[in-house]
Amino acid sequence: MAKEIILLVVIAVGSISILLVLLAYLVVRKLLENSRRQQINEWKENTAQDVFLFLQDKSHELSFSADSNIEREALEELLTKYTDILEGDQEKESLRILAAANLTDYYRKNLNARKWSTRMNTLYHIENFHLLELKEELIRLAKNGAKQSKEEKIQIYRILASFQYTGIFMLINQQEYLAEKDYRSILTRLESHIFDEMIEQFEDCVEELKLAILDVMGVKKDLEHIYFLEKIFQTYEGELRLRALKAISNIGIVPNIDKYLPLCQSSVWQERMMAARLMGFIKQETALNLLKELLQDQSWFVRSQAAESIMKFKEGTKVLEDVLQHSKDAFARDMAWEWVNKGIIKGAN
Amino acid sequence: MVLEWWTNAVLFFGGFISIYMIIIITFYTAILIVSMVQLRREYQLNREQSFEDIADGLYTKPVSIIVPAYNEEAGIIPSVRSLLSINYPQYEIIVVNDGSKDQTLQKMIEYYDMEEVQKVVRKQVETKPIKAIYQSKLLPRLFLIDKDNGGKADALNVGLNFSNYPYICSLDGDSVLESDAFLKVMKPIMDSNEEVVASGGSIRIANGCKIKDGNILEIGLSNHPLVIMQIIEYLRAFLMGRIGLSRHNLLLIISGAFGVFSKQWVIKAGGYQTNTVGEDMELVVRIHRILKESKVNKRIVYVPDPVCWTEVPEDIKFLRRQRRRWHRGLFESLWNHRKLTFNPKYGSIGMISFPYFWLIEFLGPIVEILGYIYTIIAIFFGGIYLEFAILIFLLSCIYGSIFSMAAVLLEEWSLRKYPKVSHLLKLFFFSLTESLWYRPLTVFWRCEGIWQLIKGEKSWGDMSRKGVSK
Repeated sequence: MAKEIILLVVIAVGSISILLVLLAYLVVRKLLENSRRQQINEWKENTAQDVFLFLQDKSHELSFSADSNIEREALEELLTKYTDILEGDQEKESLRILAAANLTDYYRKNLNARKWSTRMNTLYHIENFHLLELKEELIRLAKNGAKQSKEEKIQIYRILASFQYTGIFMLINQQEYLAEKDYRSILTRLESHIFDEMIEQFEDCVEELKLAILDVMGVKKDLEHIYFLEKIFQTYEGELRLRALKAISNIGIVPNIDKYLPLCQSSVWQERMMAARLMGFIKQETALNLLKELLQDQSWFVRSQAAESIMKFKEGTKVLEDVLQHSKDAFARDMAWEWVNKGIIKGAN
Repeated sequence: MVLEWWTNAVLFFGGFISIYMIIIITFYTAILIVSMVQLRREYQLNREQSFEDIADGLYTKPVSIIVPAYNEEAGIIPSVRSLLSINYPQYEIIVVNDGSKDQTLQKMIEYYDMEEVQKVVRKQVETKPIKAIYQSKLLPRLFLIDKDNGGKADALNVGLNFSNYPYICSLDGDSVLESDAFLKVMKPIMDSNEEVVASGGSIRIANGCKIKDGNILEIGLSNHPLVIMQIIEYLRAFLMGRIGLSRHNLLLIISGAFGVFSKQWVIKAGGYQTNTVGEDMELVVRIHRILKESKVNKRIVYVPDPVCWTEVPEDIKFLRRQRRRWHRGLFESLWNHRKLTFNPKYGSIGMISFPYFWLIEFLGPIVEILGYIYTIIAIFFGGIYLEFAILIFLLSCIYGSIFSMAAVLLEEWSLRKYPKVSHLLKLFFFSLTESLWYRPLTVFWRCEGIWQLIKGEKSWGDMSRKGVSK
C-alpha cells in the first residue's frame, strides 16, 4: 500500500512540476508577446499618417522602411486594415506598391517556412495585397511544391485566378481533392476572358468543375451565357440540368419559355419550382394558368415560388385574392393568403 | 470475526473507489491528449482571413437565429443588438416571447419599431398556439413571435416552425456572440458538404468582461472566486472534454446557449422535447440516434474557437440550483434513450459515449462523495484505513486540480482569450485549489440532484439576471 501512495505522490508532484514549468514558459511567452504587441502598436501609431498620405498620393516621400520583422508585421496589419476600407483604384495601386516594396522578399521566404500556419497566412496576405511579383513563385509551388498541403494548394489556385493566370485551367481540372465549392471560389475570381476560355473546354471538365461553372454563371449574370446554359439544359440530365436551370433563373432572362413549360409536370419538385420561377420573369397570360395549377402542388417550395411569381404579374394580387376566395385547395388558399398579406414590409428573405 | 469481516469490507470499498478514480483519470488523460493534438493543428492561423471567403456570401448557408425569451426585459434589447451586428451574410433573427410576465414584448416592439404581420407558419412540430407575429419596420430580418407560455423548448419549436432558412441556431436571450462566431461555427458544415449536421461553439463566462451594446470591449476576469472557478470549469469542459469527444463523433452535448443545427434533421427528430429540463442534450442524443437508425454517415461537431459569452450565477444559491437541474437533465436524456447503452447497433455512441455519461458523468458524483466521506471517517479511525484515505485524496487532487490546471494552460497555449499575464496566473492558482473546496461543493449539489430525482421533484428553479451588457 505504501508503495502505491508513494507512486501517486510522485505522479502528483511530478505533474504539478511539469505544469509549473509549462506555466513559466507560457507566462514568459505572454510577456514577450505582449511587449512585441506593444512595439507593433507603437510603430503603427507612428507611421499610420505617413502610410495614409502615401496611399492618397504616390509621390509622397516616405520617412520609413520596414526592416525588422516587427516592423514588417506592423506594416502588414496597417495595410490589411486599409485593404478592407479603400475604394479607389488609385489608392489600391499605391497600397500594392507599398506592400510590394517592403514585403515581397519577406513573403518569398515565408512561403517556404516550416510552419504551416506561417505559410498559410502569407498566402492570405499575398492575395490581399495583390502581390503580382510573386506570381512565378506561386506557379512553381502549384506545380511542384511538395510541402504544400491541400489547403495551401487551393489558396494558391485562388490567388493565381485573381492574378488572371492563363494556365489556371490546366492546373485545376482533374485535381481530385478539389470540391465544388473550391472550384467556385476559384472561378469567381476570374475575369470574363479567362472564364469564357474555360467554358469552351466544358466537355473536358470534371463533374465538380462543370457544376461550379454553371453556378458561377448564375452569379456573374452575364447575358451572353444564356444560350450556353440553354444548351446544357437540353443536352444534360440530372444535377447538371438542374443547375443550368438555376443559373438561368438567377440571370432572370428567358428567351423562349416554351422549352421549360414541360417542367411543370416534372416528377422532381426542384424542376417544378424552377419552372414556376422562370414563368415569373416572362409574365405571359398562358403562364398564369400554369402557375395557378402549381399553387396546388404537393411541395411547399413549389407553392411558395408559384405565389411569388404570380405576385410579379401586374394583376398578381388580384389573382391571389381570387384563389383565396374561390379555390377548393386549402394549401393553395394558405399560400395565397400569406403572399397577399406579405406586401407590408419588403426586404425580408 | 465480525471485526475482520468489517475491516475487509471497508478495505474493499476503499479499493473500489480508488480503482474507479484511476479509470476516470485514464479516460480524461486520453481525452486531454486528443484535445492537445487537435488544438495544436489549427493554432495561430490568421483566422479572420480564412473566413473571408465564406463571408463573401455567395454560397453561405443562411441561418435562422432563434432567441427564446422569458422575462428577459433586462437583456433582450442589447442581445438582439449584438446579433444584428454579427458578421454573416444571410440570417434572420426570431425572438420568441414565451408568454413573459414582464415588459419583454412591449420593449421589443417599441425599440425595434415592430409591426404585426400575417404569415403562414408551417406546423412541423406541435407547439402551444402563437398569438401574433411581428416584424421590424427598420430591420426586416428581425421577427418577434408572441405565444402562450410553454417553456424554453416549446419556444424553440415555435421558432423552428417559423424559420425560413435551412439552418437554425438556438441562442439564449442573455448572451453575447463574438462577431465572427457564426462564420466559424458554420465553417465545418460548409466545408464538409453537409456531412456535419450540427455544430456547437464554446461558451465563455461574461462576468467580469466589459460589454457595451452587445459588443465585448475588453475581456476581463471577475474577482469572485465562484466565478473564477466556473471559468476554469468551462475551460475544462469545452477545451478538454468536447474537443476530445468531437474528434471521434462521440459528442452528446451541444450547449443550448450556442449551437447550429440543420433544420431538416431537427424536424426529423421531432424538434425539441418539452418535458425535460435538458432539452439541448436530449436533442443531440435523439439526432445521433436517428442518424444511426437511418444509417447515414453524418457528424456532430464542436468548434473551440467561436465564442459565445454568457452570464453565470455569482450567488451560491443559484449556482446550486443550476447544478442540481443540470444533473437531472443529464439523467432524463440518458434515461429516455437508455436503450442505446451498450447497444452495439449504435456504434461508438452506444458503446463509448453512453457508458461514459452514465458511469462517469452521472454516477461519478456518488462515488466521489463516498470518497470524501471515507476520507473523513478514516482520519478518525486511523490505521490501515488511513492509507486508503491518502490514496483517495491524492487521486481526487489529480482528478480535480491537475486536470483543471492543464485546461487553463491549454487555453493559454492555443486560443489565448485572456490578455493579461495576471489573468493566467490567477486562473492557474485558483485551479490548484479546486479539489479542496469547489469540486466537493459541485459534487454535493449533483448528488442533491440525484436525490431530487429519487424523490421525483420536477421544479426548474430560476436564475436572477442582471444583464451582461451595460
